[in-house]
Amino acid sequence: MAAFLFKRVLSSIATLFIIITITFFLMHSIPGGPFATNEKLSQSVIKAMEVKYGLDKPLIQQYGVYLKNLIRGDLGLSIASKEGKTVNYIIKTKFPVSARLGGLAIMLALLLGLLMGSFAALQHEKFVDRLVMFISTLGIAVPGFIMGMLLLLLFGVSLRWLNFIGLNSPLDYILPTFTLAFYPACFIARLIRSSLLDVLGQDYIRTARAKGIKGYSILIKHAMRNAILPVVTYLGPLIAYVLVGSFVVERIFSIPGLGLFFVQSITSRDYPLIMGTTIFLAVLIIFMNLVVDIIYGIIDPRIKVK
Amino acid sequence: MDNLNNSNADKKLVEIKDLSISFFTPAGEVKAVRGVSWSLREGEALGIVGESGSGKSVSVYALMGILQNPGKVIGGSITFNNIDMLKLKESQWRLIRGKDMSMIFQDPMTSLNPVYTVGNQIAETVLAHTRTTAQKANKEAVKSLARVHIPNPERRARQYPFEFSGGMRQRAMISMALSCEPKLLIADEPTTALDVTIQAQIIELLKELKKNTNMGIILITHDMGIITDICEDVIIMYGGQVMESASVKELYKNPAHPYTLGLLECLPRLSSDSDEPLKPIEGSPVDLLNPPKGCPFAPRCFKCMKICLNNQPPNFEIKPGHHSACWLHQYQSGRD
Ligand SMILES: Nc1ncnc2c1ncn2[C@@H]1O[C@H](COP(=O)(O)OP(=O)(O)O)[C@@H](O)[C@H]1O
Ligand code: SF4
Ligand SMILES: [Mg+2]
Repeated sequence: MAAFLFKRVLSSIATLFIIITITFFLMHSIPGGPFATNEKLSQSVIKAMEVKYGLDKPLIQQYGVYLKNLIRGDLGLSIASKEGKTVNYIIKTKFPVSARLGGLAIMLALLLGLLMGSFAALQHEKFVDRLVMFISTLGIAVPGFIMGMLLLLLFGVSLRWLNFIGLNSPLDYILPTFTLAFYPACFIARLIRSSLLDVLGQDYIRTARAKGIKGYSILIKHAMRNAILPVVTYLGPLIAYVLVGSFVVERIFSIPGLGLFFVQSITSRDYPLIMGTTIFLAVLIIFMNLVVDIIYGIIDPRIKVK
Repeated sequence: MDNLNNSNADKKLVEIKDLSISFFTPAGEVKAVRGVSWSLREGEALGIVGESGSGKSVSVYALMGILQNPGKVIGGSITFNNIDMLKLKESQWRLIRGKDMSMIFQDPMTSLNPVYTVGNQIAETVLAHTRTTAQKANKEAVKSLARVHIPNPERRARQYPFEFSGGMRQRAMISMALSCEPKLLIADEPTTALDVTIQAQIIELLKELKKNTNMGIILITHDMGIITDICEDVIIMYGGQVMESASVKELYKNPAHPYTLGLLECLPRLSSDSDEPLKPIEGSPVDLLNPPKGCPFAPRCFKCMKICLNNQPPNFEIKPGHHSACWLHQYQSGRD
């Protein structure tokens, strides 16, 4: 386990370094800069600002300075923020909003997906199965933002049942969470359906039946633990999907989360904020994938030795 | 006293009568087993032989009550230990399954759940059928492993199936099947998936179990050799029907059915033109969606006559306890 963790941490650091490097140079290769959009500033002011943020130095030198600060945990100052907030501060205050929404969405996706898929498998080729397949095909075919817009129009604008701006009451979570969770729920439903169907046909299920084990015990203990493995594998991509999806969903529902800032940072060429949020999200995804791999190893003992 | 013992020895542990099983598939009704009858006496072993697809597994699944959808018993009766099994509710049947009758399967590599330890899976059987603690069940699992000669049973019980070799897994399966000391052990091709040397060891183990317990055994195989080692009686199945049944000794001495002859790869002895050597049985298996109205073996039978194509041969008793379903015996019995 220790050796496994050590290896994974090393390779994660390497991955992260590559991400940082690519993002840094890619970001600077986009035309324009943090002050180009602001037409009111005179050339001399821009020059002065560039000096202040170190943008006048050669790119490679900027890169070196950035890495040095990064190792100390300092992500720099956000250029676009009027009050001169640090990137660390923005992440610290905005991420919890996104995390709450994302966490809820992941839980909802798992709950909905596992329930729909399991019922479909147990009712194979019957009405419930066909219904689940229909819904999940729809959920996979319709892009998340269209789904979000439709929900907003229906429940927010036409029916006026739900508020659709910001997250000020618990009810406000319903629309964005559902928008974010629907696609992965449908994906998980299909995953668990097909893997449960496969597992239920396995010889060891027949063995369990021949042993006189109760039906629900066969389903939970013998079938589910095996059938859930593809879903666990999907958790990594699921987390990434929810992160990226939150950029769009936060925009649609005007939620002041990290995703909103991430998108804004790119349009405003807020270099430190672009770098900071990218690195933060990359670390998050890499860490989550590590957690997922550990969970996988716990569920399936065959993985540990390999 | 003697009388009592005799009647006990003759007591039937399993009696299958006129059993028919069909699978209701989108393509139609697959008539996998059609009017099969046989029985097993207490403490004895019965061999079921036949090429693959002949309905051997499906018959014993019905006996265990583990036939899967879309398979259904559509006729006949199954009596086990004087219980009319087809009248039982699933919850009652479950209490017998794994306790009084248990089963091992063809492929030990896939028959154990990969994510639980072997000990856990054996203890689970014990826990399902006896009032005991998890701790005691675990001890019972270790004892079970020792009984089938698995070295280091304590350590082995804590290991996962992937840490076992094929032969060891089949031993573990057997120990699991024996953990509640059943009255009947069904072994469905227990050696087919194993290396030859391992096969011999498993057969040796089954022989030993038969000697040391009063357990009835049903041994399914397509290897006639294994039958002679263990079984008193044997039935030969083809196309979902019993072709021939007899004691093992009698079957070897006087095989009667053309299909049996083919299996034994011996020269035909039934008819006058016996100088003609038997070719390996050619042709494809029976179409169970549309079974022939005559003898199922007719398209592949080197003795096929006109009557065979249109009429089911009755089950002739050619000697006491020796039955064969073939029209040839009609004329033979006339000649005798
Ligand atoms: N799940 C199923 N669906 C449809 N037909 C089946 C199914 N299982 C078995 N059968 C039919 O039953 C026949 C007998 O199968 P089986 O008892 O497994 O043969 P074997 O003698 O090799 O053990 C097969 O040839 C097949 O046509
Ligand atoms: S009944 Fe006819 S076809 Fe069938 S085995 Fe006998 S001789 Fe052959
Ligand atoms: Mg079989």
